[in-house]
Amino acid sequence: MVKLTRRKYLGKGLTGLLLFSVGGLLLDVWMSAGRFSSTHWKALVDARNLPGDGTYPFPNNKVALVVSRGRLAEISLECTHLGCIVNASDEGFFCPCHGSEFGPRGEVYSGPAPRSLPWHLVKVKNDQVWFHSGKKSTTAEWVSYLAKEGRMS
Amino acid sequence: MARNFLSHIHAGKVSPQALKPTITFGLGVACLTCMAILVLTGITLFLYYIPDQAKAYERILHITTTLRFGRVVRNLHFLAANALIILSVLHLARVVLTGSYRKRWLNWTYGLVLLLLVMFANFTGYLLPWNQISYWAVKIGSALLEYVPLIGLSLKSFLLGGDDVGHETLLRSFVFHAGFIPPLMLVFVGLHLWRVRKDGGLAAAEFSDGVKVNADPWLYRAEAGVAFSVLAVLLLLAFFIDAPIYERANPSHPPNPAKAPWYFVGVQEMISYSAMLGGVVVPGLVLGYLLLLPKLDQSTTPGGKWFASDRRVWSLIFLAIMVSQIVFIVIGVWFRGPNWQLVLPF
Amino acid sequence: MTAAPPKWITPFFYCSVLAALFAVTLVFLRHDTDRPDIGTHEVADITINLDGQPVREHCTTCHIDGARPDPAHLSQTVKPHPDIAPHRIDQLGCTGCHLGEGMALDIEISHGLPGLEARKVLSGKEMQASCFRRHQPGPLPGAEKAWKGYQQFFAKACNTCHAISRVGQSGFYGPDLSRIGAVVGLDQIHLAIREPRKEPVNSKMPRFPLSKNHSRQISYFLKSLAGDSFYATPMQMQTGMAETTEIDLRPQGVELSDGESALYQKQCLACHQFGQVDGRIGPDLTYIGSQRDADYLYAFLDNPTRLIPGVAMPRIPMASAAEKKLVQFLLNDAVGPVAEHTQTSADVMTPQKQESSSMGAKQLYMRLCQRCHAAEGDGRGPIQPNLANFPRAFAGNADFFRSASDKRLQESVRNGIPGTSMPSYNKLLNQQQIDPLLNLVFTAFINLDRHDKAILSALPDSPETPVSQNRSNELYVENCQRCHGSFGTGTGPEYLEHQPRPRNLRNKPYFNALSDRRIARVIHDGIPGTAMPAFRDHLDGPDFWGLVEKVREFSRSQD
Ligand code: HEM
Ligand code: HEM
Ligand code: FES
Repeated sequence: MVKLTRRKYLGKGLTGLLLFSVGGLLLDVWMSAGRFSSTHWKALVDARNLPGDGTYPFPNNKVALVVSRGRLAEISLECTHLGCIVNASDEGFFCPCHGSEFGPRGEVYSGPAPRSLPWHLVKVKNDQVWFHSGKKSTTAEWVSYLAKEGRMS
Repeated sequence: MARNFLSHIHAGKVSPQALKPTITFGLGVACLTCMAILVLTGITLFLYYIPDQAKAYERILHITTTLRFGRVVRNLHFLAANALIILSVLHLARVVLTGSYRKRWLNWTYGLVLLLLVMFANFTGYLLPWNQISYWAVKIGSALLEYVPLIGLSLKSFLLGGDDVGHETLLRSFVFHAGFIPPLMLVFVGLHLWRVRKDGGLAAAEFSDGVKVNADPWLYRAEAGVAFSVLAVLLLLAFFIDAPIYERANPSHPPNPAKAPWYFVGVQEMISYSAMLGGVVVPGLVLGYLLLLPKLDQSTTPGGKWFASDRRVWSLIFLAIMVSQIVFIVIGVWFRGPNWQLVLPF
Repeated sequence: MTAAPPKWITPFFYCSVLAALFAVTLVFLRHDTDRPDIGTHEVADITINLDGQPVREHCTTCHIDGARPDPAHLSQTVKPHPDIAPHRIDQLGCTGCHLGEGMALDIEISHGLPGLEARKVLSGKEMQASCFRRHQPGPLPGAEKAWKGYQQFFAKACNTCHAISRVGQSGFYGPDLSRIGAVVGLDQIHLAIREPRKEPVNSKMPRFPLSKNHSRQISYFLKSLAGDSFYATPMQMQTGMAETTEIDLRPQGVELSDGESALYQKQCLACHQFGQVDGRIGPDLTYIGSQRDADYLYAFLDNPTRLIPGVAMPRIPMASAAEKKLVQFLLNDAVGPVAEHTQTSADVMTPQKQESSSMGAKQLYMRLCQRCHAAEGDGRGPIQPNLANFPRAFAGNADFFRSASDKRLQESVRNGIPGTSMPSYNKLLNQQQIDPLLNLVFTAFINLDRHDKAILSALPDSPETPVSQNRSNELYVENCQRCHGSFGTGTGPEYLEHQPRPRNLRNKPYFNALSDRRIARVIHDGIPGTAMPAFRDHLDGPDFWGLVEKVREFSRSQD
C-alpha cells in the first residue's frame, strides 16, 4: 500500500518534472527573440578633440552627445511620444512630428510626449567615446573625459 | 458523413425551448460560421502571403488587385474577423443576460478563452498587411501591454520578438496568426461544443417538460439557416466594403493620432484618462468579474430566462461594463483627432 | 415524447440558402466591374534587379513597353515611352525611377496611395526627382531643376539646419533629410517648405520667401535623397572620395573683402539683410556694428541662444580667424552710424524730406523698426514669425503704453532689450532722432498723448519674512503654469493659444536686466495687450514677492 502510493507519487513527480523541463526549454526558445538585439556598444567620437560644452546630435545613431564641464553623457533622440527623431538645439530638443519640446536635459517642456528623453550608457575607452545603443536609464550617466586625458599626457 | 458528424455532437432530441430563436439568437452558430469562413479564406491568403518586411505589403496588393477573386477573399477574411469579435461579445452578452453560465462554469471558461484567442488572432492578423495603420496600431497596442503589472514587459518582448515592432514581430504575428491560434481555437471550440452537450444541452432545456423535437432535421436546419445567413451577409458586405489598404508601413512617420485596433481603442481611451486605472485596474476588474461571474451569481432561476429578477444586479453590472466600453470605443475611434484631442468626426 | 417542430425553421432555411446563393452569384458576375480590362488581360509579371534586390512589377500589363495606355482601353497605348538612352528600360524596369507600387494592378494603388505619398508615381518633369538618387549632384541633362534645387538648398542655407548625408558639414536644428525622399512624396516636401508651420504648428522652421519655382526645385532635389547614394559608400564618404559639389554663393564680378564675402559664403544673407541684399528671415545686419558691441557679436556667433533664448538662428561653425574678420567688418567697415548713412543714402532722405523731422522719423521707422514692429505698428512685421519674442505691438495697445513710463520707453530704444532681438540704438540715433520717433509711434499707431500715463496702484511691500518656497511653488502651479510651463519655459499646456507667447522665464539676459519691482509690478497689474492677467485681486502682498523669487529661480537655474 505504502509502496504503491510512493511509486504513484514518484511516477507523477517524474512526469511533472519532465514536462516542466521540456516546457522550460521551449519557453526559453520562445522568449529568446527578445534576447537578440541589434543594440551594442558603438564608438561615437574621439574623446581627445571634443568640442566645448554643448549638445551635439548624431541623428543616425539616434543619440546626442551632451558635454558639460568636463563630463559627457549621451541622451536618446527618440521622442517618447511615438519615437520620431527629435531635433537638438542648444536649448533642448524639438520633435518635428507632433511638436513636443524638451529641455537641454531631456525634460518635457511641452507637447504630447509623456516622459523625458532617456539616457544611454556611456564609457570612454581608448580615447573613444562609446555608448550602448540599447541600454538606457532615466537618469544621466555622466562620464568624466578630462581625467582620461590627464592620464594620457 | 456530415450528418454522422452532426449527430455526434448533438443530442438526438432537443427541447423546443432550445430551438426558440429568442433564446440564443443563433449567435454561437454565427461565431462558428465566421470561424469556418476565416479558416477557409485564411488558408487561401496563406498561399500568396510572405511574412517579410519588404514583401508583405506588396503581397497584399498582389492578392487584392491581381488575383481575380483576391479582393473578395481578403474582404471576407477581414469582415469575418471583425464580425467574429462582435458576435462573440454578443454571444457572451446573451449568455450573461440569460444566466446560461449557471452550472456551466467550465464551459463559460472555455468561452472566455475563445474570446481571448479571437482578440489575439485579430491583433496578430492586423499587423500582417504591414501598412501604416497596422504598424502603428501594433506599436500602440503593444505599448498598452507595458501597463500589465509584473509580466507586462516580458509579455511585450515575447509578442514582439524584441523591444520594437520589426522583422521578428511580423514573423511572430504570422506564426501565431496562421499556425498557432487557429488550431488552438479549433481545440477549444471542440471542447466548448462538447461541453454544451455534456452539460445537458442548452440551459433553456432545463425548464422544458420533457417534450422534445428531433434534432435531425430540425435543429440542423435551423443551424444551417443561421450559417447561410451569416455567409450571405458577409458575402454581400465583402462585395461592398473593401478591407482597407493604407500606405506602406513607415516607421519614421507616425500618423497622428496613432490608434490601437478598434477593439482596444476603449482601453487606449481609458488610459488617456489614467494610465493606472484605465490600463490595469479597470481591465483587471472586468476580466476578474467575467471569470468569476458564474461563481458570484447565486441566483436560483434556471438559466435560459432573460433578465431573471434575482440576477438583475449581475446583469446590470455587465450592461454597465458593456455600454461604457462601447462609449469609450466610439469616442476613441470617431471623436479623437491629432494628439488625442476631442474633435467632431466630420 | 416528440413535439411538433417549429414552423419557421424550414422557410428560414430555404431563404438563407437562396440569399447565400444570390450573394455568391453577385460576386461571380460583378466582381470586376470597376476594372474592366484587367480581368481578362494577361498580367505582365517582370522581375528586375534593383539595387541588388529582385523587384517584381506588373506595370507593363498596361504600360506596354513603358508606353502610356489609353485610359478608355487599357490594352491600347497612346504615347510611347521617350527614348532614355543610355538607360535601358528593359533592364531598369519602372519603379526604380517612377516609384509607384509595382505589385499592384489597379489604377489607384499602383500609382501610389495618398497620404505621405512616399511611393506616389513620378512622371514628366518630376522624373528629375529621381536622377540624383544615382548620379552625383551636378549639371546633368534632364535634371536641370533638381540641380538648381541643390544650389538653392545651399543658397537658402537649408543645410545650416538640416543634415543631408552627402554633405560633410551641416546643421542639426532641423530633421536630418538624408532619407526624406524615401519617406514622403514630392508634393508633401513642397508643402513642408512652403508651409512649415502647418504641422506641427510650433515648428521652428521659418517660412522662406521662395518663389514657387524655387521651392519646387528644392523639392525635386530633396525627393532624390532616399538613403545612402550609390556613388558614395560610407567608406568613400569617410575618405573624402565622394565630395559634394561646392556652391559659390558670392555675387559674381564684385571684389569683396574677406569679412564681407563671409556674409555670403557663411550663408548669413540667406536669412539676414545687409544693405540691398535681403534674405527676409532674420534681422537687418546693416547697422549691427553700431547696435551691438564686439563682445556681443562674438558671443552671439558662438552660441546664439545664450543671448537670445529661443532664437531661430543656428550656430554657424566658423574658423576663429574668419569669424574675427567678419566681426571686424561688421564693426568697422559696414554702414553706419545711421546719421551719416541716412544723409549719404539718397533713397532714404531727399533734401526736402530732411526739413520736416516727422518725415525723417517716418523714414527711420521704416528703415529700422518696421521689419519687426510692422508698417502697421501691430508687431506683426515681416520677420516677426521667426523671432523668439513677439515685438511689442503699438497699434491698439494704448493701455500698455499708458502704464509704461516714458523713461522706460526711451531706455528701451536707447539700450535695447536684453534677451530679445531688440538692439540698442544709442550709437545709431541721437536724442533729436529718438524723440520724434517715439512721438511718431504715439501719434501714428498708439493714438495716445505721450504724456497720458495711468496712475499705478501701490505695490505691496516686500515682506520681512518671505513666504515659504512651498507656498510660492504652489502659487506658481496654480496661477502660472498653464501658460509659463512647469519649467518656466513659456510652453505650458495653453501656450500656443496666445500671441504674444507667454514669456520664457528662463530668459536669463532678459530677467537679469529687470528689477524685482518690475517683476512684481507685472504680476500685480498684468501686461495689457498680452494674455498676462493682473493678479492684484487674487493674491496677498507677500505672495507677489514669493512669485518674484520663483521667477528669479528659473532664470538662475541654468547650467
Ligand atoms: C469563438 C467563439 C465562440 C463560439 C464559436 C461559440 C460557440 C457556441 C455555440 C455554438 C453554443 C451553443 C449555443 C448558442 O448557439 O448560443 C455555445 C454555447 C455557450 N457558449 Fe459559446 N462560443 C464562443 C464564445 C463564447 C464566449 C466568449 C463565451 C463566454 C465567455 C461562451 C460561453 C458559452 C456558454 C456558457 C454556452 C452555453 C449556453 C447555454 O447552455 O445556453 N462562448 N457557444
Ligand atoms: C479565427 C481566426 C482568424 C481571425 C480572427 C483572423 C483575423 C485576421 C485579421 C483581422 C486580418 C487582417 C485583415 C486585413 O486587414 O487585411 C487577418 C489577415 C490575415 N489572416 Fe487571418 N484570421 C483568422 C484565421 C486565419 C487563418 C486560419 C489563416 C491561415 C491559415 C489566416 C491567414 C491570414 C493572412 C495570410 C492574413 C494577411 C492577409 C490580409 O491582411 O488580408 N487567418 N486575419
Ligand atoms: S513622436 Fe514626438 S511628438 Fe509625437
